Amino acid sequence: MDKKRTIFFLAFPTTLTLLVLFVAPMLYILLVTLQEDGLINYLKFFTDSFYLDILKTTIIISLKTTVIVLIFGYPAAYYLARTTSRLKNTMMIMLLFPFLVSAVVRSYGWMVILGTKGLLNQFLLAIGLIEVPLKILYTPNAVIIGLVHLLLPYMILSITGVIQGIDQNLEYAAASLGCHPLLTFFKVLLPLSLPGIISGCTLVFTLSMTAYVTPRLLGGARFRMMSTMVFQEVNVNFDWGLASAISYILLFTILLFLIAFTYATKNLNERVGGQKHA
Amino acid sequence: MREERVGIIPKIITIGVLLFLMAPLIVIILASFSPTVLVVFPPQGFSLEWYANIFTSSANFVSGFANSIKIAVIATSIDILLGVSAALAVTRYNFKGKDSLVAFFTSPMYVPSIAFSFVILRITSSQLILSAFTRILLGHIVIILPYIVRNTLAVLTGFNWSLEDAAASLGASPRQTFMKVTLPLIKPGVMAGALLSFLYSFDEAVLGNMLNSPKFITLPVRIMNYMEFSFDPTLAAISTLLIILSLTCIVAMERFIGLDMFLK
Amino acid sequence: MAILELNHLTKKFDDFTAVDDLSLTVADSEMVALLGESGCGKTTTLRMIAGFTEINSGTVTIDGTAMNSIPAYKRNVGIFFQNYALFPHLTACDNISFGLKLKRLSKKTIKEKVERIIQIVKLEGLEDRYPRELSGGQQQRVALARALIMEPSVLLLDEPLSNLDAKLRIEMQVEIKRIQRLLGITTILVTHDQEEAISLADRVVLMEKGAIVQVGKPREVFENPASLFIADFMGFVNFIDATIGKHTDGETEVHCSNNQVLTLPLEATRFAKGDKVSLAIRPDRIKLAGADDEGMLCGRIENATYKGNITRLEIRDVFDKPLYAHLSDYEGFSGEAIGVYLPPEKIRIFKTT
Repeated sequence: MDKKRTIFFLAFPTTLTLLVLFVAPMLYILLVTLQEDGLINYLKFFTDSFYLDILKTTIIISLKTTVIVLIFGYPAAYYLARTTSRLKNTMMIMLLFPFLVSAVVRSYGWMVILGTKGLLNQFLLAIGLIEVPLKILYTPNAVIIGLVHLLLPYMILSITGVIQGIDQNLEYAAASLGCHPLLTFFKVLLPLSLPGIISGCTLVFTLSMTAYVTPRLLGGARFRMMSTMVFQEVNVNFDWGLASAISYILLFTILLFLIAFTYATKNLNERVGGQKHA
Repeated sequence: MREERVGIIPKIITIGVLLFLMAPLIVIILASFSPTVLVVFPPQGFSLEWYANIFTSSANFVSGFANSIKIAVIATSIDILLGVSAALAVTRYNFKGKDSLVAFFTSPMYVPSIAFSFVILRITSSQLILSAFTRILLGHIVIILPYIVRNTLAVLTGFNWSLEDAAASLGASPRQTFMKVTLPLIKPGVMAGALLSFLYSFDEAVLGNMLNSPKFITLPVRIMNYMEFSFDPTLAAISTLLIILSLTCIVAMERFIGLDMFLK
Repeated sequence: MAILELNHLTKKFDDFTAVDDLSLTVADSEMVALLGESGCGKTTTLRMIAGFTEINSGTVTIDGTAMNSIPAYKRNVGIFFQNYALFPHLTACDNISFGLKLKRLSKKTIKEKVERIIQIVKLEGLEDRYPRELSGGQQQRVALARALIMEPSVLLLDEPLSNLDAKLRIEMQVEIKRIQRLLGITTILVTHDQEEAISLADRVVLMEKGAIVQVGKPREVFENPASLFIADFMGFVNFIDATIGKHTDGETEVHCSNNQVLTLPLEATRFAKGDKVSLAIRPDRIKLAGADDEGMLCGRIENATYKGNITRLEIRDVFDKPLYAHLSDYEGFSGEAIGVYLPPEKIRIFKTT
C-alpha cells in the first residue's frame, strides 16, 4: 500500500497539470468547434484540393526531410558512437549547440546563405559556376534544408545512443567470418540499431510535420504547410473555425502516422528478434 | 585495414554534417560585423554598429530578452518539480500501466504546438481572459514538461535503487532517503535537463507568436517581426549573442557534467 | 542480539510462489545460512525480514515483536548488500556514520563509535576516501561497518563473498566470522555458494522452490544431504544408478551397472528388493589403489586434470557412467589401470522413482 501511495503522490501533480492545462483544453475546443460548425470546416478541407495539397505537401516534405536526415545522420551517428578520437567531445559540442539555438536564428542564417543575393549565390557567381542566381530561398527545397538542419541532431543522438550499446565485438566477429563492412551493416548493425532508427524517424517526422518557424521563414509567403496555414487562418483570414479544423486534422494525421510506426515497429521487432536468436 | 575502411566514409560524412550544422551559425556571426546592410563575402570591413543597434532599436530587443527570461525561469522551475516527481513515480517501482503513464507525460511533444497554442488562444480570448504573459507561461509549462521528464528518466535508468534500501535499513525515512541520497545523486543530471528546458522555452517562437500581445513579446518573436520590415545585420548581432549563450551553456555542461546524458 | 522467528512466511508474485510457508527460528547470536540456487526464495525471504518486500502471510518476529506492519526504516535490521550499495557521494566515514547521524547522537558519541568500528573492520587510514577510491575488499568492509555500527538486533548478509577474488574471499570469511562472534549479532547469511555457507554458518538451511528442504550443522548437511537434489548441489558429483538386491544378515547386495555388485551394510527395512536407487559419493571420498589390489573395483583413468591442489581423475570402466575422484598427489598417466574402493560409510543412497 505504501508503494501505491508513493507512486500516486509523485504522479498526481503532474498528471493533474497535464489534464487541466493540456488535455482538457484540446478536447474542449474540439467539442466546441464540432458543436458550433459541425463538420463544415472539415468537409471544406477535404473537398478543396487547395487544402489537400497543403496536407500532401506537408507530408511529402516531412518524409523527404526524414529520409535525408536518416541517410546522413546514420553514418555520422555511427562514427560518433565508435570513434576514439580526442576530438569526440568537440564534435559532440558542435553537434549539440545548434540544438540549443532558436529555430528563428537558424532559419535566419539560412536566409542569409540561400537568398538570391545571399552568400551561396555570391560565391557561385564569383567563381563562375552559374550565370544567374539560383532561386533557393522561398522554395520547398529551402524549407527542406532548414528542417534537415533543425532535426539532424535529434536523429543522430537517437542512433548514437543505440549504437554505443551494441557491443563492437559483434562487428569484429562478423569481419572475422568474412563479412564485408557493408554486409556487416546490413546483417548486424541495421537490425540491432533499428530501435534507434525508428525512434529517431518518428521524432524527426513528427517535428517536421509540426514545424512552423522554419517553413514560414524559409518558405516565403506563398509556401504553405499545415502549421503556417493555421497561423494564416487565425491572424490573417480570421477564420477560426477553419483554423481549428486544420489544427485537429494535422494532429490526427500525426497520430495516424505514430500508430502506423508503432505497429510496424512491433512487427519488425519480432522479425529482428527472430533473426537475432536464430 | 578493415577498420580504416569502415572509418573513412562515416568520418567524412560526419565532418560534412558538422560543417553543415555550423554553417548558418558561422555566417551569422560573420555577418554581424558587416559594415554594410547587405552581407557580402568576402567581408569588406568590420563594424560594431549593429550591436549598438540592438539596444537602441525600436524593436525593443531588450524587453523581449527580459520577457523570455521571465517565462523560461518560471516555467522551468515549475517543471523541474513536476517532471522529476513524475519521472520518480514511473521508475521507482514497476507497475502495470507504467509505459502508458510515461507516454502520457511526454505526449505534448507529439502535439503540434501550433494547434495547442491556437487552442489556448481561443479559450483565453473568450472563456477565460488571461494576460499574454500568463497564457504563454501556462503553454510553456506544458510543452517543456516532456523534455524534463525524458531527461530525468535517462538520469534515473541505471540508478542504483539498492542505495535507497540501504538508507532505509540505516533508519532513514522515505523523505530523508530522498533528501540525503537520491536527490544529491540525480541533481547534476536534473540540473542539466533544466538548463536544456530553459533554453527550449527561451527559444520557443510558436506559442510566443500566437499568444503575444503588443505589450508582451518574447525575444524570438521580436526577431521574427523585425525580419518583416528590415533585414539588416542587427538581426545577425542579436542572433550572435544568442548563439554565444547556447555555446556557453553547452560548453559548461560538457565541462561539469559531461554530455553522455544526451545519448539516453 | 535477538531471537529471530519466521513463522509460515509466504510470498507470491502473481501466480509464482517465491516463498512457501517457511518457518525457522534463529537463536540469539547464531549465524544461519540460507543456501540454495537462484530463484529458491532465499533473497525474497531476506527482503521480507528487512522490510523491503511485503509479506503475504505469516510473520517475522524479532525478540517477540512482530515486524509485519513496521516499515523498513523503523526495523533495527542491519543489511549488507551484494553490490555493497555504498553512497557514492559520501566518504567511507560518512557512509559509516550515516545511520548514526540520523539518530541525532552527539558528535562525540558518533566519533567514538566510528573509530571503534573502523578498528574492528580494520579500515584505519581509509576513512576519508570515496567508495570509488577503495578496492573491492575495502568497500566491502565499509559496507559491513556501516551496518554493524547501528548495533542491529539482526544482521542480514546478502552474498557477502560473491564479488571477491579467491584470496580475498578466504580473508573475509575469517573476518566476518570473527566479527560476528565478537559482537554476537544474530545473523542470516544468504548465498548460493555452499562453501561460503559451510565455512561461515553455525547452521545451514537449504532452500528449494521457496521451501526449506534441509536444516543442519554444516558437517551434517555436507556429509548427509537429505535428497538427491541437495547432494548434487553440495558437490556429490558421482551418482551411480543401482537396484536393491538380496538382503542377508545385515548386508544388502546392490546391483549396479556393468554387472558390478556392491555389498553394503544396510538395514533390511531401509529398502525393498527391486527398489531403484542412486548411490552418491563425493569425489574426495573415493579411495584409489593399484588395479590388482584386493577388494578393489577395476577401472581405467580416462582423463587426469591437474588443478594445482588436487588432480581430478575421470575413471571409466567401473560403472557405465564415469566416476570422478580427487587425488592430491597424482603422477600417473591417462589410460592407466586403477583400483577403486567406495567406502560404504561415505556412500549416500537415495531412492529414485
